[in-house]
Amino acid sequence: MRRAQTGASEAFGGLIARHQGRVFGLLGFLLRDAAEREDVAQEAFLAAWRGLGSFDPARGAFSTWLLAIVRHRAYNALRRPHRSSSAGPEPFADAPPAGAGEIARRLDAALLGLPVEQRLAFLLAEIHGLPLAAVAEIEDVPEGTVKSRLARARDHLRAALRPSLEPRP
Amino acid sequence: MSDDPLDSPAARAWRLARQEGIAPGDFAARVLAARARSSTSAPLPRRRARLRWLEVAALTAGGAWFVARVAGLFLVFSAS
Repeated sequence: MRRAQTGASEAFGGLIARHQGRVFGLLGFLLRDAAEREDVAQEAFLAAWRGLGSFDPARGAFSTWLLAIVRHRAYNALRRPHRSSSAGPEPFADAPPAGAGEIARRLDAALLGLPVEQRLAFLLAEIHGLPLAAVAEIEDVPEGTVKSRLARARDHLRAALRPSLEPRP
Repeated sequence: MSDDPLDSPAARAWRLARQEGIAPGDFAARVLAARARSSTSAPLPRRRARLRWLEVAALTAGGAWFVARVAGLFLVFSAS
């Protein structure tokens, strides 16, 4: 991290390699178009590189700081006219993992059906396992707002799973 | 054991599988190349500013020459 902060490109390359999976995992549920996801991921990493001097490890984890940049860039992309919408009937994340089955497909579809703020809260807290304080920092809202977004998102996903758990006649 | 469907083994497996997306194989190299390109183009505004100063200096010199020329002609005419 310190070497990357001094501008060492191979050190920053290491940071990219370590965090790109998480960044693409998040963007997979926020932006429909694959090329746009790559653009936003690249913009976010470049912005992080430019701002690396201002990153203070004492204030929080690098991943939280990076994901806040990713969120900001993704929201900008969603606001752009004539670009991909965040909502739609067909899933736009990567295909469900092989053998994941019906439950994974239902969860994917339910997550994609959520308003983007609830979706992001669920992704950060439940998928990436970030604490509420970090999610609040990334979303730039109070923790109480994150809690209510998460509760609504969980209810929605539970409801989507219910038919698959009921015994079939 | 929790009866929350979001805590079921299948839902947990889904959460785990969704943690990481798939980046293009050359993604890191592409970001580094984009950064290198933006670094080389950074001095451009400074070069443009230097050129602007040269233009101002040239115009000032030209203006001074013109004023001296007019003043010289005026002196010639007034002497004759």
